[in-house]
Amino acid sequence: MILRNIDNTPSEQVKEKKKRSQLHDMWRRFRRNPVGMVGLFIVLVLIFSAIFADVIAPAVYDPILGEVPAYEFQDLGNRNTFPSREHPFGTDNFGRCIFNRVVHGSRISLLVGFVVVGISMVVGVILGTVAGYYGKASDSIIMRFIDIMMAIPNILLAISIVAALGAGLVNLMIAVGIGSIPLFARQVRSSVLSVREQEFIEAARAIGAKDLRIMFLHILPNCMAPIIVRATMGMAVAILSAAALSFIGLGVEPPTPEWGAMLSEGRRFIRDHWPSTVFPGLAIALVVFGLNMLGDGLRDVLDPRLKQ
Amino acid sequence: MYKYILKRLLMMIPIILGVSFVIFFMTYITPGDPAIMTLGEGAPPEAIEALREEMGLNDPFLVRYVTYVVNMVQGDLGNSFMTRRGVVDEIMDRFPTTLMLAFYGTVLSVLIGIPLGIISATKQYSIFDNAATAAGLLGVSIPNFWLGLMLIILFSINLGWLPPSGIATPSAWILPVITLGTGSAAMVMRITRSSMLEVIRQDYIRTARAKGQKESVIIWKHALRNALIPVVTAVGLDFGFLLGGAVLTESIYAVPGLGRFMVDSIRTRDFPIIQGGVLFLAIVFSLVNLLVDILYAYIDPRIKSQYK
Amino acid sequence: MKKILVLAALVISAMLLLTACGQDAPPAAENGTANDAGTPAANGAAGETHLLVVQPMAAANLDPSLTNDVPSARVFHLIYQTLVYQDADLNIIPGLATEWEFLDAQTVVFTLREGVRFHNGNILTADDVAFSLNRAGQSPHIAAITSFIYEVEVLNDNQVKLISEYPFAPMLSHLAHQAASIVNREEVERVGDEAHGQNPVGTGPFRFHNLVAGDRLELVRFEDFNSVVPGLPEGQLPAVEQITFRIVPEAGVRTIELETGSAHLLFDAAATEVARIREHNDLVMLEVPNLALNTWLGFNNQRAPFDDIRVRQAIAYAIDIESIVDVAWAGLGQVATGPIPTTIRGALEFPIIPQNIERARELMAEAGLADGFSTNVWVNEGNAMRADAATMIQAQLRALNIETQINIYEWGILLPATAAGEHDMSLMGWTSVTGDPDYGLFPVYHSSNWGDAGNRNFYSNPRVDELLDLGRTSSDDAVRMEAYREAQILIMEDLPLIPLWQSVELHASRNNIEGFTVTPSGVFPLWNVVIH
Repeated sequence: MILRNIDNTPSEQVKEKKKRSQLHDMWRRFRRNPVGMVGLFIVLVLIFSAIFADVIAPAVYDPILGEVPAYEFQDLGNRNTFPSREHPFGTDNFGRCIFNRVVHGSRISLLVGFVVVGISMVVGVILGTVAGYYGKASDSIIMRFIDIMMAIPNILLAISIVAALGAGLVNLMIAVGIGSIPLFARQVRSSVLSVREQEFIEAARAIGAKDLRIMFLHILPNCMAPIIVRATMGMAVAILSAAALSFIGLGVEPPTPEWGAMLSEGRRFIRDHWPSTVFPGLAIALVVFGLNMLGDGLRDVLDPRLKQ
Repeated sequence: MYKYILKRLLMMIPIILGVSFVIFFMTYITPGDPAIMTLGEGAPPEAIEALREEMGLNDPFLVRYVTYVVNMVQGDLGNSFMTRRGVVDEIMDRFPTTLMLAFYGTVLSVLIGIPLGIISATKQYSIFDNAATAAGLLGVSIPNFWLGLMLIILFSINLGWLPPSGIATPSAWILPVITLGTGSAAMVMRITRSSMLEVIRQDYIRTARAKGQKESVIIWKHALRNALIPVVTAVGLDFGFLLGGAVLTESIYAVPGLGRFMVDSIRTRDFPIIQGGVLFLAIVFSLVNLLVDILYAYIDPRIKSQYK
Repeated sequence: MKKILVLAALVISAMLLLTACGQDAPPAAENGTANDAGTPAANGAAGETHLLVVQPMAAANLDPSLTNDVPSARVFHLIYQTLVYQDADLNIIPGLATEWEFLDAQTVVFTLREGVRFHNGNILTADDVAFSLNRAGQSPHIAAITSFIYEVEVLNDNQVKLISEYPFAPMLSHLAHQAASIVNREEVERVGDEAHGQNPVGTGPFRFHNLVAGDRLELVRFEDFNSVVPGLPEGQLPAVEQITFRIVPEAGVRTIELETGSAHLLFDAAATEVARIREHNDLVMLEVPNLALNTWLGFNNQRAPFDDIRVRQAIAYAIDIESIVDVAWAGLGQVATGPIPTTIRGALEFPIIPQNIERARELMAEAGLADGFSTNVWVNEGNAMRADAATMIQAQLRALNIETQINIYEWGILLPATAAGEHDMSLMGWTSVTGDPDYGLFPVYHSSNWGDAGNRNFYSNPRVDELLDLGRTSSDDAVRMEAYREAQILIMEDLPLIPLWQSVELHASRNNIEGFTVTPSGVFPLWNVVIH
């Protein structure tokens, strides 16, 4: 039963209640999706680790060197050791605790994921919405541009951008971000195309609402579902790509504890010291796995077509 | 049909030109002096300057670009800064290897992915399905460079069964193909599964069941045929991606393919190779897309009927 | 359904056809040797005359005037010859020239060996020598080695006269370098420089057979070889009939190839592999001190605060050089003891600067920098050992409140940027490829060489300049050595850079290989190798 005001419009109370129960509904459905829940759990662990890295792996005070961050502290007497009580993941070639480095690395991975998805989502959404809404010329131009970017192999594009801009975390994020734009743009564009023809858009236009308003207030909110799913998958891809670039040696500079860079450094000791390569790799795999599962779960929940 | 093909081929031209412009621009803004790269440390400044002149690095951007395009349409992509050989020769020396690697990787993904996807779909929610889904997600999450390292540790170092590098013997291909194909196999499995699921729910399947047809006939004759259509498209596109993206696998296994060569060339600022290689890969990728689209139009009866 | 299968079959067969056509056929293959080339069987069953080598990088080009990289130089050493060679002590011994006479400080006359055959059947004449060296003198790629050549004249069929641009004492050492290899004029003029690089012709004991780009290079024994190379008795041919060089960039994988017998020789073992190779029963390490002062911590001496010697000394006291060499370079080679490596004639050995944090802090306080500062150190990409050293230095400099950012760049950026002086500190090095102290000192420490020419530390000391000029032009050996002695002492007093590591050639072989050696300049006389 829907409450109405005197003039028959739905009362504010009810609108809010509807929205709240919609979200509640989605959460309940999501809760029943095992894949999504596991993914969510992993992602939460990642976020927790990133936020509380300084608590889990605090800085070390050395009498000579002063305060040294946990991921930098070198113990040259304890190099390349195996997992123990003191160092659950062992130590690397400089005697640095691998567990501490992996924990701090989660901060970098999270940052990379957010920034890259941020860049590609914002730009991709703008491009896709404009292309889908206005059609014709702007669509052609934008889609040509997207096609050009997609024709260049992703990893080569990223490497070229890093080569052009220089190494370092920021440029790494820009490079991977730019590479992810086409997929977002395409997705948004096709969503916009399908929403555009619906009646309520025509109605809005009939009332005289301005284009920008229509695009961002009416059309976009209805495309959010695939965008959110893509954003989650996009984070996974971003973390993988960043690790891949660091693995080749084009990413961050030492001693930054980025997981791909750790893999690259540990490669030399692959035969004698497996912790150097196994643990950072596991971290990458786990986080990407979790994000993908979360994305799958979200897709099942947000996309009613797949409901059985 | 032929008009469609022709139109698509014509549309490729501006895209390829666009790619050439983008990559040319990127090499232009990339810092790093190829003359110094070629001559090495300790080269006298006059020698460096002379080589820069020879390489045409001092001409303005547009002049260089236009000259490049004019040469390009005549089939001359210039000479490598490093080896002085023709770019086309250098590329064609290495491309067949990458082609074979991508091809076998795709074959592997099809041989593993499709059967698993079918079984998974027909036995939905069974243990097999859940395990396969998890494995599928894992497959697309594991960083393939890490997988490569782990495989080398296991099969070359510890067990000594397979050679760890190169492509000298047939057995040397096994590890690179597995590394490259795993991600694709997982992807193929997931798409096959979701496509089969969608098809199975269709009315005509239900009708066939109601008519009393055997389950296996239903699956193999009716469902599969239609379910495979999007799978074929995905496999084709994936093959295109593999051609450009085998970089990491080639690096780890020292496969003398085009991907690894491109990364090395970016590192040494061998501009003609970078430009020619990316251009080449873009053309190949576009052609593969075109082939896939034609294939898709051909086998999807809904689209095919449009052309009758 | 059927249609899908038919289409798929068509596509697949098209792919197979394409890849089959794309397979490499060995160009200009001569008889059956093409077949067993390139398929190294396991356990050394490839035959006792086919040598299998794994190395990290490919030769860039096979024409000596087009490139100056080490992998190419190693090939040149086998297929070409130079007028003179250097023996194990870096003394000059005859090569293609049997005698030489200095007419004055700038002019030398060489008498050539008679009747030497090229790989293509031609006989070596003075014409070839003059052509090769004049061409080399003009080439920008090898200018560091050959630019001293002004002109080479033909005197008669087997004598040439070489005139250098200025009195150049290390001339003969330069002519022993592979960049001064002698090529066949007729061949090069017939096909051009670049094409010659694809199909080189020389007088060496091995000749070019086949190249698969990025994968391997194959050489075969030159059956008509009639010249003389160090170590091979005259008239004798090498025991090895065929050599295949395979490119394997991963250090660990190279070792595996050697362990399994898929390779006989391994060039450039990574520091992290050495311990394993030494312990392995079937493998032998080859460790020879070479001509490289491989790594120093260099300062931009024109930039504050590194223009203050107290700061440079403080940093030297703050870092623990021995532990850095121990960790970053796995204790191999030796800690550097001076501005040029000890393998060079006349190199002085100075005491290693010990770690002394207190003294370092005193010096920083004197310089007014007790609170430290922020700085950077630039390192080249692809050198894990230098990156490791940088990581340790960064950690150790914290003791002085110095915050160091590590910048890793590819050569293409590093070289121009350090030439322009954009760095504060850098980890770089220098190889004195000719074995002569001039090559190790002049480019690095002379103020006229600021920037690309070699002095990236922007060091300037007028007295050092004088001494280096004297050493370069004087034809009296005693005068030269004394000049270099004084110069080294002054340099170490000024400390424009902190020498860290003197490197060592690191190669390995299986224990059934005899005669595998490496020269201090890093090339291999593989004609001495016998496979048992």
